[in-house]
Amino acid sequence: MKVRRDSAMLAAAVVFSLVPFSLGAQTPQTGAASTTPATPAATTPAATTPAAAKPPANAKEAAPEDLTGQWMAVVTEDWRYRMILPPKNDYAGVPMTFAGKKIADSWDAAKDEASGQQCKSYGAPAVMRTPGRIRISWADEDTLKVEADAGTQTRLFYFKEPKSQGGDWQGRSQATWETRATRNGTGGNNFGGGTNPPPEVPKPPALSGSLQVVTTKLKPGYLRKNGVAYSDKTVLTEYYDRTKEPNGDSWLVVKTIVYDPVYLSQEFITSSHFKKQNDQSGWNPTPCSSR
Amino acid sequence: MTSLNAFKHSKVSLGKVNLASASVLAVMMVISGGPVFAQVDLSGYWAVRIHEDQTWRGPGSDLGEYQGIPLSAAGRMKAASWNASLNTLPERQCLPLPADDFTDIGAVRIWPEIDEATQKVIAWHEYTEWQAQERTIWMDDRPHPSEYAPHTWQGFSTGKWEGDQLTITTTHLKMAPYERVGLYRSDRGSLIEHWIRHGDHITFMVFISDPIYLTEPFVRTRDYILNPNQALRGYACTPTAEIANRPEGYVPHYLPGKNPFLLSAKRFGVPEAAIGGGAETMYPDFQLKLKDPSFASTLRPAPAGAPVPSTPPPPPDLEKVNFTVLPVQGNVYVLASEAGNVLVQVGEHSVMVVDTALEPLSSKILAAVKQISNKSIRYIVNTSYDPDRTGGNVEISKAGSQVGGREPVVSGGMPAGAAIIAEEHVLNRMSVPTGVKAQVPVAAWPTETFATPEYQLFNGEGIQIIHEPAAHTDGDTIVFFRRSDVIAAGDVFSTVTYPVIDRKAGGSIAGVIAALNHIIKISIPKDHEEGGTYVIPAAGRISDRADVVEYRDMVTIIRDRIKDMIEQKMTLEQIKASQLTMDYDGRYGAPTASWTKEMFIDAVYADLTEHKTK
Repeated sequence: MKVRRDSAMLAAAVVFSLVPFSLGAQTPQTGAASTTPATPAATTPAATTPAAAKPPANAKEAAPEDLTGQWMAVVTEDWRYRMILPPKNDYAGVPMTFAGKKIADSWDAAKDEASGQQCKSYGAPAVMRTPGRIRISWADEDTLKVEADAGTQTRLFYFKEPKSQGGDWQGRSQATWETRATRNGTGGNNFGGGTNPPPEVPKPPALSGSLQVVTTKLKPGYLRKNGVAYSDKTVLTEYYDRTKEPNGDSWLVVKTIVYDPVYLSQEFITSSHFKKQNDQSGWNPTPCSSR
Repeated sequence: MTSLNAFKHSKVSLGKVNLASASVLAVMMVISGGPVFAQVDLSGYWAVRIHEDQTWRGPGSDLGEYQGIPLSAAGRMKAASWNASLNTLPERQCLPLPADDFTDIGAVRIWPEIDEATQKVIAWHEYTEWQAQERTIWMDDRPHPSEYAPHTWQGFSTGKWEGDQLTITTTHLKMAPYERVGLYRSDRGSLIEHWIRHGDHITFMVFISDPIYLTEPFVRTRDYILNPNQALRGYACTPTAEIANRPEGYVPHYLPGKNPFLLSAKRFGVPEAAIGGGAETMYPDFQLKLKDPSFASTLRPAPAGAPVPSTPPPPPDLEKVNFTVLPVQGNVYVLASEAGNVLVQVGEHSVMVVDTALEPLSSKILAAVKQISNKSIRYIVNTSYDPDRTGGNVEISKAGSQVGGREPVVSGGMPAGAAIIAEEHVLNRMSVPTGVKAQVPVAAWPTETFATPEYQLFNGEGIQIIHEPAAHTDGDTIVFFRRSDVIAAGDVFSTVTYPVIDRKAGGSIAGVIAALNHIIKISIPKDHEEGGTYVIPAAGRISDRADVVEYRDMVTIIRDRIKDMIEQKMTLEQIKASQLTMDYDGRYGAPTASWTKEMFIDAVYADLTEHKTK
C-alpha cells in the first residue's frame, strides 16, 4: 500500500476535494442521479500549505491498490445471458431504445460470422461480463494492460494521454485513480485523468483503492451475444475495486456503466466479480465466437 | 428498552441523528485531522437499477433453475421439495426479504446514526421500501450476540471500513430464501458484504455463506444510483386464507423425485448439466465443458456439503456447563446452556421456574435465578417427565416456598417448598405404587397435577399451562405467559435436533405436529413474521413463530416422505438408505448423547405403521 494516510495529507486532500473544477474524465450523467449539489469551496491554511510529501512519479507508483494478477470470472448473475447463447428477443434488464430493439430483433449470428464480426460481443462494454479469466499487468508505468482470454482481447488503460485513437472493439481508455472526494460525489480531482488538473492546485494523494476507466471511440458491438447493441457514441465508465475477504481470498468488482444515447434509454449498469487466482492456471485464450 | 434491544448489548446511548452541513463537516475534518464520517458518506436515497439478474429479481427464475449457484446436495434437495404454494400459507404470506436480498428490488435510504457526545457514526441504517424493512449496521465494535439470542430476517450486522469499502458481517439470520424458487440459506449461514460508493453510484456486494446448503459462498452484486428526490413507500401485510378449506397444518411440498418442474429452464436453452447448479457451474471452465453435447445433456450430481457428525458427542460435562442468562420479553428470562433451557418468570411477589434441568445443575440454576430476582421461587412447572426437565425439582423446590394461596400437599414427607406443577402423566411416570421403591425421589414428584386440557394460574400475569397430548410424551405441556407473550415449548420444539419422540412414554409424531401447530396458532408475530410472541425451545435459541413454522414444516415434510415410502411398501431399512432427511440433516441430524436421526426415523416409521394397522 502506497497510500499516505497521515492527518496533514488527509486534511489537504479534503480541502482539495472541496475546490470545484472540472474533472479530467467526465462521466455522462442522466436523470436525477446527476443532481449531487456542488459543495462550496473552503479556504483554510491547509489549502495553501499542502504536505511536503513527494508526489508519486507515475500511475504505477501512485497505485493505492495492486490490481495486477490473474482473475477468474465467477458467473452467479445473468447466467442465461452469459454462459450460453441467449435466445433471440430475450433482452431482459436492458433499457433499450426502440432503435436498439430494432437492431437486436434483426440479430443474425450466421450473418455476423459470415462478415467476420464474431468479436462484436467482446468489445470493452461487454468483455468484462464474458465468462473467462483476465490478466492485469502494467504495460508501462502509466498504462495498465487487461487481457481477457475469452475472445483473446487486450485493453490498455492510459493514465496519461491515451496513445490509442480507438475505433476498434476496445476503444480509447482513460484511467484515473479515484479519490475519496470523487467517491462522495462532491467533485474533486483524480490522479491521472490526462489533460486538465489545474496547475495551481496540488495533486492530492490517491486515497481510494479504486480505478476509474472511461472508454470512448468504440466500434459498435453487442452488450449481449444475442444482438443487444451499443453504438459508436457509447461512453463506458468502469470502476475497479478489490476486496479482501476474511478467508484470505480477494475479489475484483468491475462496475460497468454504459452510456449510449442511441440504443439505450438510460445508463446500463452491471457489476461483474472476479476471484483472484494465486497462479496462472486455466488461462485459455479462445477466439471470438458469435454463439 | 425492549428485550431485543437488550440482546444487542447496546454500549452507548443512541443520540439523535444530527447531521451537520457538508461545509461544517469539512472544517471539522480539517481541524481534527479525521473525517466525521469514518470514510465515505453513504447516506442518501438510492434508486435500484435492475439491469443484471432482471429475470431473477423481477418475475423470478424458473422452478428448478439453480445454475450458477454453489448448491450442496442438501441445498438441491431442499429446493427440489419446495412448492410455490407454500407462500399461500397465512403464516408465510408476510415473510420479508432477508438481508441477503435487501438490495434486490426496492429503492433504499441509508443514513448514519451519530453519537451526540463523540460525533462518531455508531451505526448505519438502511431502509428498503420493498416490504418496508430496515437494517442496522453497528459501527461501534460491539460484539455479536449470544448463540442463544433470537435470529431475525435481517440478522445482526457489524461494519468496519476497509479502505473506502464498508465491510459488513451479519450473523443471527433466520433461515430464508435468497431466490424465490426454494433456494434457502439456513440459519447457520452468514453474510459478508462490501458497500462501495463511486460518486452517485453505489454497489452492494454480498457473499452468502452457508455450511448446509452451499459448498462455497454465493456472491452477488447490486447497483444503485443516488436519487435525492426519491420518495419511499411503506408496506402493510395482512395475512389471510388464500386457499379455503385446507386442513390445519397442511404444508405444500414435493416428495422426492416428484417435482415435475425441475427441468423447465431447458426452454431457455439451459443445458441439463447446468440446471441443478453446483459450484462448478459458476466457473468459466464449465462453459467450455458445455460444448460437449453428452456432458451438456446429463444432469450433474450435486456435491455433498459439510459432513454431518455421525457419532454422538459425549454427554456434556455438567461441571463445565454454564447458563447464559438472557431476557426474553416482559417478565420472562431464559437460562440457556448446552444442557438445555430453563425459563424463569418473575411475578409481583414470586418466581416461576419452568423445567429444572439435570440434578447436578440445580445450584447453578439457583444462582442464575438470583441474578434475575431475589423473590422466592413459588412455582415450578415440568413440561415433561424427562430427567433434563425434572432433575432439579428437589433442590429448586426446596429453595423456594409457598407464599400464601394454596399450600402444597405436605403429607407423605413432601417438603413445603415451591409447588411443582405438571400434567398428571408426568406424576404417573415419576411415581410408583405404595410399597414400591421409587426411581425418582418422592420430593421430586409433582405436587400439583391436572388432567384437564389446561391449568391456569396467576403470577404477575396470567399463565396457561396447556397439555399437548401424545407429543414428545403423553404428559407434555407448553407454558404460555400471556402478558409477557412468551411460550415455553418444552420438548415439542427444538432448534437443535429432530423432535425427540418417546413412544414408550406415549409420544407420537402426530402429537408433535399437533403441538407445533398449536403453538403457531396461539403465537402472534409483531411484524413481518418476526418478534411478537417468543417461543423458548427445550434446547437451542430463543425463537418466534417463524422459527416454529420452519420446524413444523420440516417435521411435516419428513413425516409425509416416510408415509409415502411406507405406502410404496418400502422397508424401514430401505427408507433409511434413501437419505430422505438429507436436506435437514445438516441442521438437525447431528446426534446428541441420547437422540439420533435414525431414532427419529424409527419412531416416525413405527408410529405411522402402527397407526396404519390399527
